Amino acid sequence: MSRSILVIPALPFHIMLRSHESHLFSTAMRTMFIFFGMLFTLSNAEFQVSLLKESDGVVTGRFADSLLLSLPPCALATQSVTLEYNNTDTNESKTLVNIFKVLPCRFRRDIISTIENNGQFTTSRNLGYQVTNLTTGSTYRLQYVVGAEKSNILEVSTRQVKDPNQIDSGLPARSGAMVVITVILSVSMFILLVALIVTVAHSLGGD
Amino acid sequence: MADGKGFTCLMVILILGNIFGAAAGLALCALAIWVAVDQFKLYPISGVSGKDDIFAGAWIAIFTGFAFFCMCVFGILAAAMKSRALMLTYLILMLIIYIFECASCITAVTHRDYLVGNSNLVKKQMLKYYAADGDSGSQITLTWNKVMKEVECCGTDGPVDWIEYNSTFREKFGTDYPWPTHCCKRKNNYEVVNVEACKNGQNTTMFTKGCFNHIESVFSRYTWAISWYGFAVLMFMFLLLILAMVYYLML
Repeated sequence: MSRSILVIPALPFHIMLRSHESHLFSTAMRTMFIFFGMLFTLSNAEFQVSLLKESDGVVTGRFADSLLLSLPPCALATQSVTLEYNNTDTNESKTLVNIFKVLPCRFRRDIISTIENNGQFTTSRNLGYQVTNLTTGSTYRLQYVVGAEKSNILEVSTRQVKDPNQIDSGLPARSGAMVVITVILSVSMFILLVALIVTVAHSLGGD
Repeated sequence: MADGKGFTCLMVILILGNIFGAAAGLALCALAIWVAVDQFKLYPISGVSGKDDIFAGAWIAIFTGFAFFCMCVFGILAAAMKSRALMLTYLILMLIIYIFECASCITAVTHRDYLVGNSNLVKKQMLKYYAADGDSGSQITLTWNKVMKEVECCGTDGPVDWIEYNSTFREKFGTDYPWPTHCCKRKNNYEVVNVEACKNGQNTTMFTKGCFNHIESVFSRYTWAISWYGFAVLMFMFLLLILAMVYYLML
């Protein structure tokens, strides 16, 4: 695949989601968008989708009941995106049609004006898409479909929530400090006691 | 009775040693008061778990520190007056105080190992008691809120603790907020900078480091004050008591 990538570092700035953005996202799905200015020339019909990682600016991409996916490349701008996913455990499939439109690439100059308002929502950073209402601990296969192009199939599982009572909170190990202090103090206590008894006995015997 | 130069020398050493010991004992008392006051307000974490002997050791050390001070002053008197009875009293009482102080040091350091040897106990307690009802729950919640706000941290090892494990917080409030809003960055007027971004886990809007490092360093600091300084004082008193016994034998 030959791609020319022009990477423009994203400037951090405040996200302001106005209330009238709910028109476009009226379903229970919550979305958040963050922008990096990148230019691709695609020579493949398949683009990459992946989970967001710490290097993308989030704590984690895998929650117990949702997943954070990366966005389709901005070369496919203004086309609407469909997400198909399949729970491999129960073999249920779901298709979310026209969840959002791929946002256009922007250059650094524009980003300095921090807020973009297109009447529907006001955002200035786009990170990814959050797929919600998933079941805990299940494996999913996800794929974007944008117009004629599909992404690769991403196979990932949501977090399995563990029981906190399983955490073993017993004594982990005795530290060196504890051993040293206990041993030396116990020995010194013993020596002093013996020495005192000997002293008293000697002084009584000596009299 | 050897009233020679060696005897006088030993008496002078004893008196000087007791002066130093009195100062050390008083310093132990003061340091133990600092620990007992708990400026970082982390007592509930040890109290709820039942492993609060770092603070019990501090209380013992307050009394033994002051007792060392008093006994060393008495020791100066006993050595100067060259009285056998007084020296014997001094030796016996010092030994009793010595044993109590040993107990304080050993128990403080052992309970520190229980509490912050690794992050498991603190994590389990946080998951179980944060947002729980009852006295323990409210104490733990207040303590954690304070720590998260002041130290700018979230969770024990990180925010992932809140989503990795089930917790009282999650059972109460559901999965809408994966972690408490105290994990989110706030403006100076205490308003959250961006609630939605914090919920999604964007690391520019929330705290991503874990609180365990801070908690561990605070408890370790308290423990080193009580146990290592107590140990140092006890080692000095050990030598002093051996010399006092030799002096008693020479009297």
